[in-house]
Amino acid sequence: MVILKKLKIKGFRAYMQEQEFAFDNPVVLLFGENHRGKSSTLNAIEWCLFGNECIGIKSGIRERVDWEIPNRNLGSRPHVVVELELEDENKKNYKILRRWVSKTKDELKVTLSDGQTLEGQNGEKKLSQLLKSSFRDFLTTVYQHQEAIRSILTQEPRERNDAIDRLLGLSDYRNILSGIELAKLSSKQKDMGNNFDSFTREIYVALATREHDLKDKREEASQKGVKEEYLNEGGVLSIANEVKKQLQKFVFEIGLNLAELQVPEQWKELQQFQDVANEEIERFRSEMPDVKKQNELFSLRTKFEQLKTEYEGKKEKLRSASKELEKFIKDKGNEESLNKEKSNIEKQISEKEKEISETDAKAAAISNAIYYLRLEKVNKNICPVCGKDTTNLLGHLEKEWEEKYKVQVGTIQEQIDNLRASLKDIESLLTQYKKLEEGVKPHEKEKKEVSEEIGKALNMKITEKEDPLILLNNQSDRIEEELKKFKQSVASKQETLNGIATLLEKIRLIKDILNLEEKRKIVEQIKQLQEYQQIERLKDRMAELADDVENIKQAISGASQKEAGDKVNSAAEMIGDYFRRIANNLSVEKIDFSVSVDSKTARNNYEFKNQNGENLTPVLSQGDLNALALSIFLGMANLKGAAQQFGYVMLDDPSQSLGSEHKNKLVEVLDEVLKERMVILSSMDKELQDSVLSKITKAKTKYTFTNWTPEQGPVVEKEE
Amino acid sequence: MNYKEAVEAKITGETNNLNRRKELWKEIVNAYNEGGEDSIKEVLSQQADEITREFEELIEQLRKKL
Repeated sequence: MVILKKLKIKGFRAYMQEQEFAFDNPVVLLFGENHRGKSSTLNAIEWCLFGNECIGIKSGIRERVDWEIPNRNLGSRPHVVVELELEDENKKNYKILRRWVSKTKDELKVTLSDGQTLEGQNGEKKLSQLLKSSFRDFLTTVYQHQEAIRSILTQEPRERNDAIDRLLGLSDYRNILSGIELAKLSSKQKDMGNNFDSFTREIYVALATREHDLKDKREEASQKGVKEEYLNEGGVLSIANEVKKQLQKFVFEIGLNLAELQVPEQWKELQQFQDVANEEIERFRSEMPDVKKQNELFSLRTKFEQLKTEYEGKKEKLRSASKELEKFIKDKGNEESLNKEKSNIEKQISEKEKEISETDAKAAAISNAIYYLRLEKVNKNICPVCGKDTTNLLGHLEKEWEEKYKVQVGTIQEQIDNLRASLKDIESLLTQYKKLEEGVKPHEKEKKEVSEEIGKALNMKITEKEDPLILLNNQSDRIEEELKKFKQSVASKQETLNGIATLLEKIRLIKDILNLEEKRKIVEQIKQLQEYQQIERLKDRMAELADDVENIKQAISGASQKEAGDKVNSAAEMIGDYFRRIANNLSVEKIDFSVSVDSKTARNNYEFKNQNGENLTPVLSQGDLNALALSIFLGMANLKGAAQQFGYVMLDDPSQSLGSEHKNKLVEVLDEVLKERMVILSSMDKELQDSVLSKITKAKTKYTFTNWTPEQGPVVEKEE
Repeated sequence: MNYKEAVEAKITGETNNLNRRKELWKEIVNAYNEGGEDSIKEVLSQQADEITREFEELIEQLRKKL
């Protein structure tokens, strides 16, 4: 059993300056208001003993997820050291010094009673041997604050049972069971079993699939004329030889060469033969002389068809343009007749103008000038005779014409105007005629060009008297005749190649059947293979390992339950007694504290019932639960012969939910605990302090935490 | 009687099985003393994983033959 002798703290959490504590009496009291550094003092003890185990998520304490070890006021390179002096049951002293290095690293130095020092892993190993307990054990059997105690009764049943197991000093059983469960052997065995079963099913499925495929292939082979006697190596090789023979005969007949084609000695090596033979067949289909000639004729026929269509198109365009010209001539006359009519009108106009001139020369001049000035794009103020610029010359002339000459020469002038209109119409018709005549010419040229192209295609010169279409048709007819002849010849040769291809298809089918037969044989014999027998042995080995582990788990469970039962029987009376005394709950006369084994988890399951057999957890008040939790903890701590390695308990503010009378009762209980272990009590409760100081009979050391400043940390005064 | 002996006394089985299980229990205890719960997990997982690995390799070889 290990007890505390001295504690030095520097830079740890609330601490700045070095502070020393002596645990020189059975009772050490840490009294003071909140935030004076009391909890940091208790935390320093556990950190010195367990290092990073008590920090962060792995500590299992929610409040410690973001815990900071160095005091924030120490700056960027804090010096944090906690040193504990311990004494074991043989009165040997040990100094444990832990120095903070970083968030994830610290250094440990263990000094033995003979002065030997152990550092690093050796130090951790020695400390572990000395404490013989994990951090969790420490947290539940040595250092209990109210929340931790309460969690025993209010957490999930498994957590609660775990906590009580640890309280009873049964951690090893539970830890080993946890370690075994982490290996997940039953899950691995189950996975292996599933994998094996799945594989067995795959064998049956594969066999059925092979049988089905084989049946299908045999039917297909039969439908394609493969006889049963050919469904073997000899049969398929004889067909391959026949393929080779027929190909050789074929190339001889058409005058081509055959690539090297070797029939192998084993059917499994036939693939190359099949590939070469198939490639050759495809090559012959396109390279046979008859096919080449046939293709040339097809190409010529297509060209003739294109020329024919093109020529007909040009001819039609020419016909259409000529027809339009002819219709114009019929309706309006040709160029000659139109020109003749134009000359006639011009002559009449000349005669009429002369007539006006003879009647009145000036009237004629004015009439001509008005005619001129009325024309488009003519400056209406410039005299067409002398070129003089006169404002509104046309207006003047028209006025003069109206007033003096219109009556005199108006009739003649009207006739001239009519003749001029007729002349304009004739000129328009002549323009139309020219346009239509010009439209015919390009079509004539294009038609001639296509005709020449046809001549080239027919390899002859076509005269104007010959009809290119008839010549083309005659030649197309001759091509059709030739194509008919080649069609028969080519079809016959393709038929021969089809026959050879059919033989190759038979080879492929027989090979598929032989392959499937081989695969089926492998599946049929798979269970006789060494590998299969080995996986059966491995499956049995895994089952054996799982059985062994299960047997060990049962043994652990049995041993753990027996020890738990023994301890519960010893402690139950004391717990009940403590509870009655601390809680003073009149309705609870007796607490029945029992243990059983959970058949599913092989772990201990604890129950707390009252004298009527009712589960206490849901009916007790918060204060009662706290009292009950304290009673269990102190009952276990005070149990004679208990397995706890630590000779002290640390209580952090245990009276927070207790009334005055209950606090006095708690102090009485603590006095009893002190018969077995020393007590380190931290409290801000003045009432409890007074009660402890006045009622505890054992010697006490009192540390009063009077103040705390960022620069100095806790200000502590010691009283004996 | 410490926990090691208490558990060993409760392990059952015929002679062959019993001896093998007691050997395995010793391995578990040694692992626990050396590295706690994680070491037990490691020791048992190693044994199971060796079997599983060989099993899976062989079964994959056989699957390819199907």
